[in-house]
Amino acid sequence: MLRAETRERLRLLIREIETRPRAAAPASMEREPEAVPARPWEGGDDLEVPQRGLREAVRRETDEGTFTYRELRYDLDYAVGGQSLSELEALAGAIGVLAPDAGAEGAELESLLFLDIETTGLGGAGAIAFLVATGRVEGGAFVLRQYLAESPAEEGALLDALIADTEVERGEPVLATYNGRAFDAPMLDARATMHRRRAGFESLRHVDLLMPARAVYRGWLASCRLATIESEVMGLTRPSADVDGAEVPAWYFRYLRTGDMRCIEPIASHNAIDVVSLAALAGRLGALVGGRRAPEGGESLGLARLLGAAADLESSKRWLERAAAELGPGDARREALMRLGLHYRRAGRHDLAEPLWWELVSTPGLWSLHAHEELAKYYEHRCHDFARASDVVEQALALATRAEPRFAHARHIEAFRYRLARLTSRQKRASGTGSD
Amino acid sequence: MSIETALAALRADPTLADGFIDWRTLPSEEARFGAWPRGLDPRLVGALRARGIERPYVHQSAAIAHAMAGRDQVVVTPTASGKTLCYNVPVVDAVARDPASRALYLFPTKALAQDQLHELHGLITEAGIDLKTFTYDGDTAPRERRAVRTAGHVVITNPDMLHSGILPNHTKWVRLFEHLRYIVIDELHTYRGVFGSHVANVLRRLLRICRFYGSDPVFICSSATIANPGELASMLTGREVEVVDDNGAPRGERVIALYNPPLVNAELGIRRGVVHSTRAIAERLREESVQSIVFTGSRHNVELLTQYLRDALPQNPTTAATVRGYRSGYLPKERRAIEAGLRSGEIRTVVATNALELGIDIGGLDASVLAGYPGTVASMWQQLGRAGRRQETALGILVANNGPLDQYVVTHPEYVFGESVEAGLINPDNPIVAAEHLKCAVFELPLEADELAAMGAHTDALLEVLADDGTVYQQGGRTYWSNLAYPAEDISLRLADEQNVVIIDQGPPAKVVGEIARPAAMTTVHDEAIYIHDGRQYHVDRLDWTELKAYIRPVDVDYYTDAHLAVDLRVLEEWDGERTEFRRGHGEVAVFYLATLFKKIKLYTHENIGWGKIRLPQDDLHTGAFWVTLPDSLIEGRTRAEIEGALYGLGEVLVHVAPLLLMCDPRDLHVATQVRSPHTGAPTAFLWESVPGGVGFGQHLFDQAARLLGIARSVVDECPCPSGCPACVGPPAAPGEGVKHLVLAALTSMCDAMASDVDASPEVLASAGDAAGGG
Repeated sequence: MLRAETRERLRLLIREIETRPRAAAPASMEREPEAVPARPWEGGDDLEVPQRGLREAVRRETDEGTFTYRELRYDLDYAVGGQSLSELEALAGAIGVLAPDAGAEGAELESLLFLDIETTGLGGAGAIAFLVATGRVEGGAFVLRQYLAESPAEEGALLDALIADTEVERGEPVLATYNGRAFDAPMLDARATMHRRRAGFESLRHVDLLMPARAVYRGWLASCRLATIESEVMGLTRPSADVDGAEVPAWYFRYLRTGDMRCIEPIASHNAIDVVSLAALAGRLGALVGGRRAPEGGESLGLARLLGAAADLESSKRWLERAAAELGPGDARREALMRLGLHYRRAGRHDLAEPLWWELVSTPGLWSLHAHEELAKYYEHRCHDFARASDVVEQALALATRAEPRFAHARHIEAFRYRLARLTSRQKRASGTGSD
Repeated sequence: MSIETALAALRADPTLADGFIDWRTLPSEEARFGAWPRGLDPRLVGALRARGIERPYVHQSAAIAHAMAGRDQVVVTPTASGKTLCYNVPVVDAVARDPASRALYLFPTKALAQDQLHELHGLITEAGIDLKTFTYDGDTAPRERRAVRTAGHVVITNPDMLHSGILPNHTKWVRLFEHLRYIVIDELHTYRGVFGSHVANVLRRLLRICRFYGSDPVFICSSATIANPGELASMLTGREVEVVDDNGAPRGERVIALYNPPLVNAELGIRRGVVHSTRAIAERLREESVQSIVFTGSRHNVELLTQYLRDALPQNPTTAATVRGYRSGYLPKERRAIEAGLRSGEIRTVVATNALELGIDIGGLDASVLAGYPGTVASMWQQLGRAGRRQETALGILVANNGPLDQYVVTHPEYVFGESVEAGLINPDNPIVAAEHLKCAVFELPLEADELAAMGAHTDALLEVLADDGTVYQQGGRTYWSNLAYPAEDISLRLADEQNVVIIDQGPPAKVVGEIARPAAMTTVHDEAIYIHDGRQYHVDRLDWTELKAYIRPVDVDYYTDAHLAVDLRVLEEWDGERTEFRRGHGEVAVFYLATLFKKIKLYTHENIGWGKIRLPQDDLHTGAFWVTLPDSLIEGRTRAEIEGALYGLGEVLVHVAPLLLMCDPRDLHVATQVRSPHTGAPTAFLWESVPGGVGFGQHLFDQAARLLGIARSVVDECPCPSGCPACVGPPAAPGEGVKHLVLAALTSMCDAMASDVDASPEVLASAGDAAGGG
């Protein structure tokens, strides 16, 4: 046994190590949650705390031990903010567009497994998955299942049940997540390895909604985080007691020490909302792709991007025409004009593209340079109107040389100069021939 | 160019000749062969023969046999003795038998790892065995990492990457850990001190992960010659190991010279400076077109010598580029260019720190000049081994400095040419080091109750503290990680104190030119210091001690700066002590240090031309120490001034010769003296470690006190100076008032008091024989 002084010195040593400044961890991750919310998000006035567990949950046993489990059912007309789950009906038909590489086209809606996990860290063997929510359409309802490890010791049992319930080992379900390709699936497989099991979430067919959501909402929303899309697009307001994703680990650690239900309920509710709103978003995107929902705001452009990426050029063009007709001035409109111009050019309809390019010419920055270039090519190669092409190029050069350097790169200027020289000589040759 | 002509020129040079006090020709040695162990894959034996390796040397044969039989081992042989074959053959054989087999190679640096790849590829291509090798380090692109993790049979990495990249993510390395057959640890002797203590903990963690995945790998280590390779390997791996040290490799002829710069002031015992002497020799070699490497112990001297050697050249950019500096702190790209320049022969002289000592491929140079003894015999032979990997005669010259360590080595050739007495020491249970790795271990796998004993001496107390503050969570006898942090990220294996000061050239454009550890920063990049990088001088405009940034700008001045550190010390606990005619003890101490002022010293003349104050807060350190008091007989009837002088002289000589037993950098050990120590109540000299928590030097010096005091006595006794000089007890404070005779009397009385213990007189060392040490 160590002497008291030695013990105390070790204690001081470790304190000293612990208080050294850490490399750039966000402040929110270092702190404990400052205040425990007065109550969990759905009420529950008569809670006695501290008290381990989760409301409406049971303790469930597996060969690996016990963990906490609950099932919540939502009717398919349940609305997440302004977004009804009923649009999920359209999802199955849209999978080929939402996740062209998933190999999940033609999958049944019932085979989709919505999933979101909560962990104690972003990676490494020391971060555990302590809470998993899955959502599935079963018998006309959306069934949400939550698996909670009340302590790190219960993670094995949690995974055991999750693997059994989802039939992941048989490669059955089609995973639907938000950034789950990079995070949730490899994390669950790694955790299974920690318990000397093989899960196989990474090998499942996987519809990661982050990709299509980015295609649709990029540039329109401030970010493509699920929380942003929820509030900006689907009109969902999270309960005031909801916990910020980045603070989840700190809350869980506090729960470990105190057993205070008020620390775990907000995380569980946060996790449940994540999966339900994930399903709602999937439904919305499915309905948009399937033509069952009219795009709002920048969604028409977004939808065109998504369809373009999935090589459905005809539909993509249709949505661009819609965007060009509806969108007011701004980058979204410019992008729509530019994309539409490309569509027309490829289809040989330069006549339709020309007015779009002329509109872009008067906009700032790269859009304008791009439009000048397209017009110059059009007048030179299609119309053989070298004089007009030269005018456009000279205008472009004037713009490029006075524009801010970040727009007018040297290579643009170089390319325009080269084009101008060629046009001048072609003009000379043309006029020479004419005078003979 | 021929070495013979160059040798003749050196010997004939009247300005140098007097300094060469020992020339030794180490004759070439014939190869001694063994047999390929039975059971080796025939394709492999065929490939080896096709590459001209008909039979293995005796040590290779023994090593391969041990590995195949599953015995852990350390192979102790000099540079260029074919040690890589010792581990490559069993590894390739294992993969040939079972393609699922895996091996992990650990090299102390990234550059070394790269070189090994070539070696191994040649062999497997020839053998037609499907064996994939990958290096995994900070330079491995993220998209390649997946392939390394799943498909690599041999993963080549360094301890740092194993610690921070692989172990904490072991679930991604299942294939490696499930089938790990061999762990290869090259340059084992470099894993000593703090670094070694960290690496021992990393290996504990590694073996723990292996157990989890059901593998039980065999260690194949290789080391340069040190006194205790087997012990060091055992402490690092936690296992008993076989020692293979019967080198059967042939060796080309080498000429080794010991050079002691002439006395410029015999009265004060001051010799010509090592920098000047080395410069003269290096210039001479250059004139003879001998491609040379010059090693020097400090970054500062790298810069100084580079500058001097360039100054001696015709002033044009082309010639300047033929002399280059090389040290840590240079950016990787810069270093790769220098390495290439050496291989191509474009660079004629390189001045380097030990950053170039290990196996980085720069080809075989003609001569190696050591500006000062590098601190360990193992290092010395490795640095000398940088010359002459071909069949020609190679030249190696050790230039001694004024210090007692160098003077001892250069005047006691048996110490370097005889059997090694220097030990590689580590302390895996250093509480700071162990605490950091305990956290990593818990992060990697929940800790079972029955594992506590294997994780270090204070595990239970540490866990209690960690559980208290919520870093870990304990339930049912298991300990789980319960913190958001990724602990390995905050722990550097290389530094005891991982806080570095970043050095920023303010430009424009502003750029980072290097980093320096916090304690060293106090004396090298304080306000107004002259910081030298690649022969360029910079003035430190401001050292921001809270942000740990030093702002510098290029200048051109004719001086450099040298800072003074004031030190105070208190004994916290005495772990062991003995009282005879004098007291000796070791234990834990608290050291308080403060950078106080700096001197401006003129280039070339080295005269003091000014000074300034340093305003930095006091730092403190808890660490290990060894101490001795002056013997009673010496104290009686002496004046305070005499006692002070004798104590100072005793401290000086002890701290300078102690590294002979410790394999440490002289900067790892410091001396403090107290005329009336509160702890011993007597005049006491303390040798304390610069590493927080210590790595066991105090204990080792206590155990080896007889040897330490014996060496110190012979240094003082044999020094030709009349009354004290920098080579023994330090120069006298005033002319004629030397304390040398007092120190000698003290040491003699102390040695007598310990007479029953091991005698470490030079005769004993000499009798160890004159077989050359490892190289």
